[in-house]
Amino acid sequence: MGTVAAYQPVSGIHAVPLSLLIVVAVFCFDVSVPLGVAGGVPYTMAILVALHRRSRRWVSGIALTCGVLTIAGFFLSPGMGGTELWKVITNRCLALFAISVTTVLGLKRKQTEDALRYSEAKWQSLVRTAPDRILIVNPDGSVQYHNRPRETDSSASLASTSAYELIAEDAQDCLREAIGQVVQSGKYRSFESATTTVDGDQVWYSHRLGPFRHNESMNGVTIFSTDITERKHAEDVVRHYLADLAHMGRLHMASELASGLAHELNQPLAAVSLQSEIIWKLCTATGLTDNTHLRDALVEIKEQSHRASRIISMLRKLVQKTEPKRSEVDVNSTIRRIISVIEPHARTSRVVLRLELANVLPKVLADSIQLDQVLLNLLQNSIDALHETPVNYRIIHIRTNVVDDVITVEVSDQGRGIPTGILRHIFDSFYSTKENGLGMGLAISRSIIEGHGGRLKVSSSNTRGATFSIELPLSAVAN
Amino acid sequence: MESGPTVFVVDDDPGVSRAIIGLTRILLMRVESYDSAEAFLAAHDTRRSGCLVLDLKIPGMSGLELQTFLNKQHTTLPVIMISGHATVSTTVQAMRNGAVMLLEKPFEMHDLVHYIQQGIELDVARREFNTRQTSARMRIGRMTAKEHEVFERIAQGRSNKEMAAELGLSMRAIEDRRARVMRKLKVRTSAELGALARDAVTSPPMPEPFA
Repeated sequence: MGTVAAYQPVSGIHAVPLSLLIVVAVFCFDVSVPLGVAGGVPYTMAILVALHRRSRRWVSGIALTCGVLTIAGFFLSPGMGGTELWKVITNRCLALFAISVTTVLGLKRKQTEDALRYSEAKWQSLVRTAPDRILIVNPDGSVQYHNRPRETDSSASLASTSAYELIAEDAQDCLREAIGQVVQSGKYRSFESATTTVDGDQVWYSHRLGPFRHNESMNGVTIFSTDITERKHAEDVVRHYLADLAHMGRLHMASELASGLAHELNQPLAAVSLQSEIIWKLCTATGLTDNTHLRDALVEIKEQSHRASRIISMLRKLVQKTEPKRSEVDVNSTIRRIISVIEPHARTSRVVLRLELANVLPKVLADSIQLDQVLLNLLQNSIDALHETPVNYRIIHIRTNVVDDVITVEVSDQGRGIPTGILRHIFDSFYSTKENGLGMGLAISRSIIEGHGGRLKVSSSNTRGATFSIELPLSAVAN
Repeated sequence: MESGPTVFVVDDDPGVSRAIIGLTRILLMRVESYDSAEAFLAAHDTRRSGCLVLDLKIPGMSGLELQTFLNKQHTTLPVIMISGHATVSTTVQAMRNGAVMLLEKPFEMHDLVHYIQQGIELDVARREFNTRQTSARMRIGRMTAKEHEVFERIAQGRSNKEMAAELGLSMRAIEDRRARVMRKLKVRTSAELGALARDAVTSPPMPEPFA
């Protein structure tokens, strides 16, 4: 703070009377001593004193007075001390010159000082208003400047404080390393740290470090520390939510897999079991019933195929969809939430999402996470479908409306469309046109919507665009 | 038109189809199999009797959709649903639509045989009923409005005397009209007339759980 104090006009109030006193003294001296020459030069002293006053008008006024008195002295001084007139005039002119030069230079310096003071004040206001903690530290970590000094801090006590105590208590090594890097490379560095408060809450900070150079030498390191706890919490919420979604997705995947497997395997098992019984029938017809070995073998075939079927149904039960957690869901706000999740992804793909939501939508009884999953899946597909579309046409419309107790959500794009051959199989399990797709997304989505008593439909032209619509009955009946 | 009941099998799985065909052959039943609902509908003649063994999940038109379609056509063909994995809702739907039974694969042969036989019997009963109903409706339709008044009252069990009072006719006129009604409907007794009236309005027989 010492530098700032130097700019305070300590003698400002006394500057004017003092300078006036000097003017009077110099004038008296000038008129009483019959020198005739150079009597006006000491006036510059008065001007220099007056410059301590903030107002420029005072300085100009005193300078003018000095000039006038210098000229007046010429007429008032007793005789001319025998000096020749031209010498006296030249001397008076030199005095006037000295007075004006002093005034101009003084005022000029004053202007520079004002600008500097203004800039200083601006800078002070900026750093004091900033919500962040701002420090300038020496390469050894001792503090040069702190924008939030405690009441007891003086510049001496600040210098003995270490940045490691003030910030990043739990990340001293990181801070030390970062300061070292900034000093060495002159480049910016940043890192995050977490501290636990006495209440046990975790507080997160983001630190940004930059070089502080003066006169081309490294004078220290500037540190900005921002409290990012809220942002971290928001990120956590999103991360948990995504993890939940992923978990649900895996559950559905397993359930759908088991379901598909059960269907596929029960067909041959049914055939095997029936054929074994047919053989037995044929044996009966041809009188081979006495052969107990044959009969046992056939019974065994039948039993084993039923056993295989039971194993499959056990597997299905094991991964069966958990009972959906139904609650009253506002479909519009579900859509808005999903939009906020997928927006960053859409932006990277340069896709615009347009909402045309019904003003009033009755609430529907549904599992909100499952609905999220379906919407996310449809939006993701649409974004993928727009990959090769010209940027101007990368638009996804999301519409909602309610007709006859059925809520409809439409997701439509102007992407490459779905060929008819693919359209027929689009909801089948394991059917995918994506290079690394599993082909479960739409199958799961359809089974979720049907689980809510609704329908998931698609319409598309061969060349342009596809529209997926979710129909949810208001009186959702689950199975 | 072929005679004798036929078991129609609609299943896209050739293994299951072949097994059911083999089974029905040794039972000396006529059998025809199709791999889709569309193929079945293209070949089907509603006059042919028998029953339909229908897989729930087939490509294109689903089993439930075919069942609903057949119901709308008022066919008599009873349906036995078979399924690799049926959910509760599809089972309920199939049974509500009047399926004889829904069998989960793999099923026991004797179950299938039992329900096929039940289906065939049901088809026969439905056809007989349809014939009776059509003929009853035709005969009732031939009556004049005045005869219809008397017919309705006989069916409700009114005596000639009551009818005479209600319709404001003489006993003689009522007796005449009654004789004409009996002749037109080709019935001899009031009980036969009552049965005929019932035949005209009741709905066709349903599979056992819903009978």
